[in-house]
Amino acid sequence: MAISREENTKRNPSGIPKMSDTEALIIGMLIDSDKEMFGLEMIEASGGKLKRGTIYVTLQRMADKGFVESREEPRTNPEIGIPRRLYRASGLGLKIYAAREAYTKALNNTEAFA
Amino acid sequence: MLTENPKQEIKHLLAEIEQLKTARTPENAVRLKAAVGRAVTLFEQWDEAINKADSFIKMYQSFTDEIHKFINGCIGAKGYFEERRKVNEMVAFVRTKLVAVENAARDSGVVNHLTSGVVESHRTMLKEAEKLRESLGLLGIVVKISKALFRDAQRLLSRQRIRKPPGTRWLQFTEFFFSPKTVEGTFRPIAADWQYEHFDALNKGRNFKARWISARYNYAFVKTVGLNNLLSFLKWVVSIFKG
Repeated sequence: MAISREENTKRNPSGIPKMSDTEALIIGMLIDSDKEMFGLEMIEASGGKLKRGTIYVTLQRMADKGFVESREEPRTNPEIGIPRRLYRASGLGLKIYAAREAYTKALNNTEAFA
Repeated sequence: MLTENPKQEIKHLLAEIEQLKTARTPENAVRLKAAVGRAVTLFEQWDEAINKADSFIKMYQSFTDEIHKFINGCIGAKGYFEERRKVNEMVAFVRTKLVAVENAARDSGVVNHLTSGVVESHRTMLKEAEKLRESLGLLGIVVKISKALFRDAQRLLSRQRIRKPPGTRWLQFTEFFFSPKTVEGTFRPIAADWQYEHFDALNKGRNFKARWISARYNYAFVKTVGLNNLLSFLKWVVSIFKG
């Protein structure tokens, strides 16, 4: 699902993938939970910030950028319905998130001194 | 007080008087005097009793009218429970009145056979009312059983009906219009969540919640399809400008 770094660079000439607020929120939740999460769990954990109609579009975009990785839930017994998808933050996603956090922190500090 | 059968006694006295009139002896004259005296007393008492009974009958006629009004109200009542409640009220009312009639008859000293007709009619009415109540009780049981059977049949039918899991049609639709990658990454997880929540609600017996979930996910699908179309359109516009 994740695209290569070359392809990402081709799409984004600066070489640094951009992370929106919603994407940062999702990565933050994945880091906080310290485990893989279902889309539905994220909706519930976001407290209304994420919606059923938009979360998977965002997750798909994040997977395209390489921020998250996903897999189908393992099933030991035969169950009804389509298997759900588990998401976890990728290494790139964690790095970009950390950089974004540092950037935001630095910007806030600068504003405080100004 | 009147005897048990004053009419009969008066008849006997009259016959005796006629006999005594034919054989004119001093003993018969004494007996005749006594018989006439007794007959006069009986006539007076009889007359008084009839007057009392008349007033009784008039009084209880009004009771009867009230009871009839109750019965008519019951028959005309809308709804089973309302009817049943009214019948219960009526039975209680008739029972009270019957007791009152019997007590009044005993206290006033009116001979039972004169008022017995009125009392008897009240008794019959009470029996009818009680029968009606019983039949309504039976009807209630029948209604309950029918409702339970209908519910079971409905449940059985809903179980027997084979239905596609929710979201299947949406998936078929999106598979036709969108790339397999988009379907796999965006639409299938929505359908999976939909089915998960829907079946979870059904397992807990919350049918209305399951319907509500379906409504919400239908909206989510519409929103996602719209959003995806918008994104594709924007990408296409950007690609045109980039050349």
